[in-house]
Amino acid sequence: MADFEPRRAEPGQHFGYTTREGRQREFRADAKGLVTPRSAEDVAILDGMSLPVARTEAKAPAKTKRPAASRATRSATPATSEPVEDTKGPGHPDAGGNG
Amino acid sequence: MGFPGNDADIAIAIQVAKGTPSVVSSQRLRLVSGGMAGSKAVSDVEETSAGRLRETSFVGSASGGGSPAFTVRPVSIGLLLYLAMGAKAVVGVADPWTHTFTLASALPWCTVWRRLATGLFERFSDCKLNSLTLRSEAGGLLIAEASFMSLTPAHKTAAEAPASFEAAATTFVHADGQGALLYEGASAAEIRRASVAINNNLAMQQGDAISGFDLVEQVQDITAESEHTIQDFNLYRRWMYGAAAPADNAGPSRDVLELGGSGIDFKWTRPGTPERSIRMQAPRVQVQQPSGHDPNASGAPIVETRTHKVYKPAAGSGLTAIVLNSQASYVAS
Repeated sequence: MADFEPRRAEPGQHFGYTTREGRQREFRADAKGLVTPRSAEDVAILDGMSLPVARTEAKAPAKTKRPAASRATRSATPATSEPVEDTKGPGHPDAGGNG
Repeated sequence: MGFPGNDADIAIAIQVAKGTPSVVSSQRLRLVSGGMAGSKAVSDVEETSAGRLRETSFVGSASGGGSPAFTVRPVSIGLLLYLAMGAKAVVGVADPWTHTFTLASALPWCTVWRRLATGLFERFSDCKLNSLTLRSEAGGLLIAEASFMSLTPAHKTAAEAPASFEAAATTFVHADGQGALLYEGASAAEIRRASVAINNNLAMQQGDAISGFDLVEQVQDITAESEHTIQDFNLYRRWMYGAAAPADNAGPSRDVLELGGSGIDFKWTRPGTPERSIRMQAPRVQVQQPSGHDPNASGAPIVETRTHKVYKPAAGSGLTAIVLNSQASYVAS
């Protein structure tokens, strides 16, 4: 996949830089303030501006309580280095049959 | 009849692409000092000969460049910062527009025109900004010194159809930084001189032609210097001994001193509305040396010159410049 994560900018914000080939490249954020990079160079520029990945905001609601079943499904997957934010201790009533 | 030396200016435009000189300038600036010129590398033909004089010389390369210095004004400084840093973004719906410039790996190509009275007109295309220094000193103006390198000088028979100058009375002075020359996040009223220098260390690449074919951005050096009428020697002690109040007989610290807080954050704001301001932010700055401290037989206060270098932060740009002005955008022409 050559897709890049959209970044959160100001609505209509205008960006510009010179590509490695020496051409001027200009692009804009949309009316919602989302700007989607099309190349690694775009990404470097947006990261240089410290613009957050828009996906992180979409993830935020994940902190709400999920059904135990979905958590069980998740826990069945092999362990990864990615921490699960809302893991409960074994004695917690939401711990999914382990208490 | 001679030519009046004060009748001179520089015009600048961003190029659409390398090899395509701009057709019209977008900014025209008066000069404080320096200027642009063509240059040729002339060397002797070094070989044995019958006498003590060389037989002849030869031209190795031809290029253009120079280090003009300008009085900083709100619109033209944005163009210079873009050329020196490489990435730009703008937000706003009306004056004042907020331009944010950050460091990019490739710099924009630009065209610079030179006018010397009615006598000499030149165009320097495929140009990049090798270095840019902003400096202000107590009682003085904020000055920008820009050093350009150009692959393609060209003679012109007439002056560039001129972009207009910015209004003369839109200069910045050191006092426009009052309360906003932040050192480690705190206002430092005693700063009597402040400067930030971006050096792109461009290297001209020459191939099979007398002119170079590329200007390559090498490792970047960004330095900041400030001169303080110091109120204590804490920074020196931190730099040399690792603490503002080291113990008796403490030895030198082997750690590099890195500024805390927001590092260096200098902002100059002209009085009035809409806002006209220039802000230079470097979050990760190491102290190279606090020097000076010279005793003075007449009792002049002790001054400390602090030299700093910008290093790569964990995220984002090592240097960010924010300019508020009346210009909606900087575009190629």
